[in-house]
Amino acid sequence: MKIVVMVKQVPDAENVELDPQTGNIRRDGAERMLNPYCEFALQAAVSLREEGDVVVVVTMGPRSAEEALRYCLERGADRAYLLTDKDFAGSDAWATATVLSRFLQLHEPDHDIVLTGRQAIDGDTGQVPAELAVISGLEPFYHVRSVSKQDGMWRVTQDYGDEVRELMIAGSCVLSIASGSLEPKVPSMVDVQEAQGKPLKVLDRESLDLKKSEAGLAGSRTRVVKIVNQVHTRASQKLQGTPAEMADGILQAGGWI
Amino acid sequence: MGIEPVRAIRVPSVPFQGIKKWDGTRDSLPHTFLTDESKLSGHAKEIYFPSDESQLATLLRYLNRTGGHATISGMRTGVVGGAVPQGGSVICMENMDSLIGLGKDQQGYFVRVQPNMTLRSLQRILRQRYSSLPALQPGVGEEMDAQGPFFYPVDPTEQNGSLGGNVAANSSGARSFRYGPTRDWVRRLRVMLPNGDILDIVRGEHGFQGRECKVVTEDDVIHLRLPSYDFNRGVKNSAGLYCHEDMDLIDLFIGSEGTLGVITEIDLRLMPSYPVLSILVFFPDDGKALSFVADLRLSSSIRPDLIEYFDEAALGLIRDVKAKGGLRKLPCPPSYAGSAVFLDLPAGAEDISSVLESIRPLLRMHGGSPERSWCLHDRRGREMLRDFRHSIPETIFQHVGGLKGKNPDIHKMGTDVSVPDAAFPEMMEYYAQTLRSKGLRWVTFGHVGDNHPHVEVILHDMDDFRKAKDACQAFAHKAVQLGGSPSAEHGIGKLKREYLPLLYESQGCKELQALKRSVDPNGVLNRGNLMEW
Ligand SMILES: Cc1cc2nc3c(=O)[nH]c(=O)nc-3n(C[C@H](O)[C@H](O)[C@H](O)COP(=O)(O)OP(=O)(O)OC[C@H]3O[C@@H](n4cnc5c(N)ncnc54)[C@H](O)[C@@H]3O)c2cc1C
Repeated sequence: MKIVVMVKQVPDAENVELDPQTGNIRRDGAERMLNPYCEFALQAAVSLREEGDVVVVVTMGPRSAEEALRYCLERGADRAYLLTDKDFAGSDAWATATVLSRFLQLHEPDHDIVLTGRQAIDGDTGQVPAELAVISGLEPFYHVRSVSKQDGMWRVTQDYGDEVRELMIAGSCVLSIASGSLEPKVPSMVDVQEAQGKPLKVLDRESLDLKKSEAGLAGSRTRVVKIVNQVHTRASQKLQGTPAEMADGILQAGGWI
Repeated sequence: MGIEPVRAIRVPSVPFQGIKKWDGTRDSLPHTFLTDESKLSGHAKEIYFPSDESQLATLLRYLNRTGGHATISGMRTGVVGGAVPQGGSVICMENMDSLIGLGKDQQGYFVRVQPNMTLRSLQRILRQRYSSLPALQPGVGEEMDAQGPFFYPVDPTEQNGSLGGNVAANSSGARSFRYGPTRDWVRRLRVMLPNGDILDIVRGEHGFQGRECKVVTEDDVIHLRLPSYDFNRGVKNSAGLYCHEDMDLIDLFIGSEGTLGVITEIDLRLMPSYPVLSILVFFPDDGKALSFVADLRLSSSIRPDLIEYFDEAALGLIRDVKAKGGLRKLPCPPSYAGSAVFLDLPAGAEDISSVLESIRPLLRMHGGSPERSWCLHDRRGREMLRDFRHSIPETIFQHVGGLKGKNPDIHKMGTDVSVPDAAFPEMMEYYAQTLRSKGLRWVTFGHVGDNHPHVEVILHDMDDFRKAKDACQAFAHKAVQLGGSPSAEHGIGKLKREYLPLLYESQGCKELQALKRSVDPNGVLNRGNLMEW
């Protein structure tokens, strides 16, 4: 069985600096980490794996994203692909999904399931899983809490907050993994050392047989026109008087305390 | 070094009314300002929050005039009651916590801070883009960006402690194994003497001649005369005032626990960062872990930045807290783990394999194995391992805090003892024997690389407390007898005063008193720290 996990490297959430002019996250020199939802996807993949299965991790990103792949290789992935090319820069969700989909088609067409994180915490669109599925002719499933194999099918639990659904799915599909264990999986010295020897292949635009117009800014269908950072202020107000007067006060304040 | 007398700088006074103050006769003062992490309880009349040197000078002059006295309070993470007032006022430094700037001299880059900046804030700042920070000389930030990132190597486990507190107690941390204590990284201090005048001391510029040094203030000359003892520099040590012939004046104030002056500005040296592998290796039992450490220290090829220890009981403590739903973001020690050793090994991406390979044989020799380990090299992962280490003292402090309701006089009971290499096995045996004979439970963890693990007694009631106190006294005696220090990094404060006569005898203590009185004749600063006033 072949499990493909799409992951992304994001700026370290504890350490982001925003560019005051553009509102964008400053990426130069910023520390990076594996997107936490992608970590959940990796956990799900590793827990699915049985003897003889392979977990393949894939990321599209700059050269530095290799760190995120190594991180996954140390935590149970068997091999990795880094899709990197200057022509991929500026890809929106659609362009990213196009690149990932082409990768699947050309390099790992025999996948049994594709796992992604729910969203990347830097871009926050959550659209890549759906678009990747659509372009690849697969079905996407969102809000996935867990997945296991049962009678040759995928048994998937979707958590909608007020509702939990159990599905049985036949064939490959794209699962957007929304939750996982917060307790970190810690690699051993052996895991780290073995990861050094695991294959990590770098692919560029040409090896994915993509035209310039299909990826990066050129292949993007959206432009971010403006990002405004909203500052939410909380003010507290002390209400005094009889209970009835205070209740009036609450109503006057719009019903919120 | 200069033999010229050192000149103090006069700071103007400002209107007293402008100084932020909480008055204990009007409001009850929040308990957090009257205690520290030792949970010793104190009392005070009022709390002042000076926001600059002038306000601080005004306060000190006022106290001198009115016969008052004050305890300097940083972040109150100290564990020996140093910041706990026994009457008088509290001067809380929390409004002096800013970054002043980045600087450079012939020896390299440094950071200048106000004293109440915490270690955590400094570390956060050092992860930012340097050119966006204030600089003491033009272009320093840009230069540092090009060569960075930089780090401050001293790493006391408690990151919420202030750098002023770190200097006052000469704190050290796990990395002191390689990089020494705070003292080694202080380039310059501004210290306000008890009379409100400032000394601006750059390391290497002012020293003692023999044991004498003259400080000239606006209206006085202070003759500083060092005690006749020599501070034990052979082991990790923060017991009493640092002192030896011809020493640098700056070293008198580092580790002086606020008894001789208030630190108002600090320059700390920085180092270029390098990639590090953090490894926690598990062993079947305590003995195996300790024999691994003994051999590791002899190795010429493996040079860790730190060596920390967790005994079986310490791992058990973490398991217990996790079983109750605590420490959720930390991994659980594996069931097979009977003890553990934590190492930081410098290793770039290309040498990870060779570094790991180099410690395999030693591990196997002592019953460990590379499979039975945790190994991390990303920043978050490494921080997680540090949190894992930190969770032990934190859990103990919380536990003792929880006993306070029923036992108001209880406080934590643990050792801070370091001994020379050769004496370490004997000391470890002595800890176990003594505590076992008293029927106490304990955990051992921490700076084993410096022969300085912390042995913390798990207290339940006052009876345990009394027994533990006896045991700790015995440990201090034993440590001194073995050529070690009864207070390696936490200082003496108010709780460990009885250790000083052990080390310096009554003569040394009298000389300490005399030095204190020459600088602070009215006893306005930190009464009760190191010595009774
Ligand atoms: C969980 C835990 C782990 C710890 N681990 C370590 C460790 O690994 N290594 C270590 O060395 N310590 C450790 N400590 C002890 C403590 O964190 C350090 O001693 C720290 O330096 C205290 O800083 P603070 O700001 O909290 O000082 P406070 O507790 O507020 O004060 C400590 C002393 O410094 C004086 N002081 C504070 N600021 C100034 C100033 N500006 N000028 C003059 N005097 C001043 C105070 O009067 C007092 O005597 C630990 C404590 C805890 C609770």
